[in-house]
Amino acid sequence: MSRWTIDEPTTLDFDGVVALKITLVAGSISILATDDPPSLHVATVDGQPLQVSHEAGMLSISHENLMWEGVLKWLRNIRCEAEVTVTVPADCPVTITLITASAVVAGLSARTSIKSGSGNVTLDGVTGKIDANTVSGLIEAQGLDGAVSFNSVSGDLTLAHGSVAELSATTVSGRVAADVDLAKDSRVRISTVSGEVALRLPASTSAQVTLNAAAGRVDTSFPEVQRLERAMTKSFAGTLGAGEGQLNVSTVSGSITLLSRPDEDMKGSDQ
Amino acid sequence: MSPVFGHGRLRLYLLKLLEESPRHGYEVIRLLQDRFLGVYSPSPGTIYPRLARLEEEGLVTHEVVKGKKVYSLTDKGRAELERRIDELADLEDEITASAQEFAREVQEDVRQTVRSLREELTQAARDMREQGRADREAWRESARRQKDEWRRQKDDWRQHKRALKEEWRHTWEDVWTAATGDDDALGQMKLDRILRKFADDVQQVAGRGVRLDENTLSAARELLEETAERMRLEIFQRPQDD
Repeated sequence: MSRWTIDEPTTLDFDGVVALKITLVAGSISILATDDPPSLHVATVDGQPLQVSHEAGMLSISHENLMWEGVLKWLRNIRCEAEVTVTVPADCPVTITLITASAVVAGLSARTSIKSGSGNVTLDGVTGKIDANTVSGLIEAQGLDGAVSFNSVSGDLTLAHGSVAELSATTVSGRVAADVDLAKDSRVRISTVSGEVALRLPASTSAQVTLNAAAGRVDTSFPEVQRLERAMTKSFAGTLGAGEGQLNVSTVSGSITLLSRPDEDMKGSDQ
Repeated sequence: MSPVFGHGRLRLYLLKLLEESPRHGYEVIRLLQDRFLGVYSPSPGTIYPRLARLEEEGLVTHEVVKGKKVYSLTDKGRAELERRIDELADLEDEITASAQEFAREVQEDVRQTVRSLREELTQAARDMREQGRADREAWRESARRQKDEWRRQKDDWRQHKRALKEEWRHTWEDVWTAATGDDDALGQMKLDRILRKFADDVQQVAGRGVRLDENTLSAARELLEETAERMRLEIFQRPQDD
């Protein structure tokens, strides 16, 4: 087992990392996939030092002591900011905990689990299971492929150009916007209190759709999805294509927009 | 033209790779990997959406060769690259700098994509709502027309009702005569009704697109005459024999 306490710009190399765990109060963390030996690069450390340990392939980087033993102390505004870049193998599962720090994750293919207060998270080409819980932090993603679970109070979720097999998103006032393909037999369940939901799916999508808004408005450009006669709420339902997947959206006062886009074969069919 | 390229030097670098020669996606990934000395291995998921986006913007085009997409630069893409030649020189120096630098590029690029996606979706939703409003207007118009139609229908019904009432009176008079008249008159009337019903039925059957040529008519006449004969013999004359 190796331990480091880092209080100045440093670069470390590791012979192998099978799991990564990061806890950061402020600053930024970038996690990139690599085929080379894993590495850690700390560009700046301001205030509290970072604790790094590497044990049995488990790399952990944190402001942890500070966080759990002295939240109050931390609130009394001690500076603790760091800029960290980690490169790990693509199949390394990652756990990230952020307070106000922001994160970039690119190219990982195992499980990515994120807890964030107000820190924003950028995901690029991440596949596999993604689990994100935030208070007000945004999740912005491009080229995802896999299962996404998102819980937030006021954070937005945006998925651009990807494909999901499973998407479950729950927010209070956070908005959800997605321009994705639904994999076969996909399950999508989105619920918000006042957050807007905007989805754009290929015209050839196959799914059973239900959209419910108590007070918000519902618009859809899929003619198959029709308004149901029901008192109190606006309910829309319909079957797209063969109806293999499931798409459920419900909101109290947010609006729901379901758009269709022409099919394209731009998916990476040439991989 | 909108500043397609106000961001994302990563994309500028993609354009440069494609300017050197047309390449397929996997080759682009491998070159990027070499470029970053293994610091960063981009996954297909990070490259294909960007190529797709460049294509949407008309800077890049592709053709399928042996089942694989080969991407190449368009004239517009070449012009864009020309215009940003200075930036490209800086990029050459910087891009090798570090994974950190790269991560920043990725972040900026994704953020830009996300922002434009949100704008796009909002605009699309707005357009659809406008459309919806037009539809509602059309619906209101058709509702008005429907109302007129209803009014006409109602008048029709009223006339119908009057006619029906008239008919009822006739029927009632029939019944009244029948009830108060003698037995003969009653029987006669009943027979009349049976015959009329028979004629109606036959007409209805014949009316359904059957060709009434000479043969059919003579067959029908034969049958009717036979029936009339039988009725004459079996029903109207026999009782006298009993």
